[in-house]
Amino acid sequence: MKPMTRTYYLLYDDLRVFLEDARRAMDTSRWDHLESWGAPCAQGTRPVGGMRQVFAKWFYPFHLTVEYDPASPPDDAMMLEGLRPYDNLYTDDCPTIEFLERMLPVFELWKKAGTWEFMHPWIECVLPWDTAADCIEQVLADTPPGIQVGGHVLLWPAKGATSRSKNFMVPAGENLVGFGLLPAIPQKFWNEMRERLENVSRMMLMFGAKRYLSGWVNFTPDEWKDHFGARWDELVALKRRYDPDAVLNPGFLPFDVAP
Amino acid sequence: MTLTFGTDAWAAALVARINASSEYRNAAAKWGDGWNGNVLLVFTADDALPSTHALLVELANGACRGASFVPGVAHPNAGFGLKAPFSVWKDVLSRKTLAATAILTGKMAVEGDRMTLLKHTAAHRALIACAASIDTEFPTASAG
Repeated sequence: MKPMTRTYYLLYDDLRVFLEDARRAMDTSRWDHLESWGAPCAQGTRPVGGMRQVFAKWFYPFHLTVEYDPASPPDDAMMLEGLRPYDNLYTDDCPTIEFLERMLPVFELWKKAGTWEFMHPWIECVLPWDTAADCIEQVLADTPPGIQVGGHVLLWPAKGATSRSKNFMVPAGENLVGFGLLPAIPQKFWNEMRERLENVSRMMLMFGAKRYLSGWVNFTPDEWKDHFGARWDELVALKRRYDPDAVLNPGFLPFDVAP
Repeated sequence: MTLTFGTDAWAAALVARINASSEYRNAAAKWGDGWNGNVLLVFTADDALPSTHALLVELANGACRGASFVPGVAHPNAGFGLKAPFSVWKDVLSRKTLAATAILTGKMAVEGDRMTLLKHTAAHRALIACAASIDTEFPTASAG
């Protein structure tokens, strides 16, 4: 690890251009960290299924970071060569240790604003590269910009071979896209949001995604089997052997308690 | 004015609602653009509907060129089909459940390229909203 980081704050207004540039950034060896997400710009209201709803134009911030020694800072023009952002907003130099803690102020803000106490039924997935843009565009077209209030729209490109965990299920392919809606929902609105969020999960699966299991997952037993595919039987066998009383997954994975 | 489901007047009202809907015009601007966007909505008979009805809705580029109830459960001019028991349709049209839920859970069967339908979810949601906006008298359940 080098002592300093330089981060380029790029902004994209076109998802498909962003994804192409993200793939290009992954395929070079220039970058140490890549971070991106969806950012809505509210545009007014329009009918959705006959009911007016605030809608947004979606943008895609893309932060590309390189570590460096103060004696040899990066060449900005060379680093950004070939990328096609809508705008290049800012270039930030930051000690690496501070860079690693950059999200802490965001979490503090969520706590101060009160949304930390809301429900967080996060719906995350890993999409195949080929269907990612279509899926993301469909989901975001229906996502109100209010999701930014205590929430986040996850969007990260990844290499398919990065994880070597046997039970971290991802679609096949050299390149993948992580995507998720991470809302903070007041408890009183849960019933009206639940069906929509379940449909987002179902739509992700139909586009060939695997759910990323850290968030809200409401799979049926068959959907759990589909998620793990050929690994399901071994997973069940391991569970029965090492956690026969289902102590480690109360209410989550549908493992039966051993008879 | 309340219209009876399954009649020519109901089909004509749907055409008018679609063509007056800015939601549909925007959401479906690319639906049927260079390909067959006609949709056959099949309401299969169940306890709430004595006989199966099929409605062919002719759609392209955010507009509706016509709609008519047709015999059978398939039609050569249809590019897509949405088929469900009438009780499922009734829940959708009375906004008790989302059409997307019915499609994604398999309660409503899709005929045609499912991926194309998935890429135009706003278009078929707007279509269903137009149908749901018609003041409709539905058939009553048959006795016995």
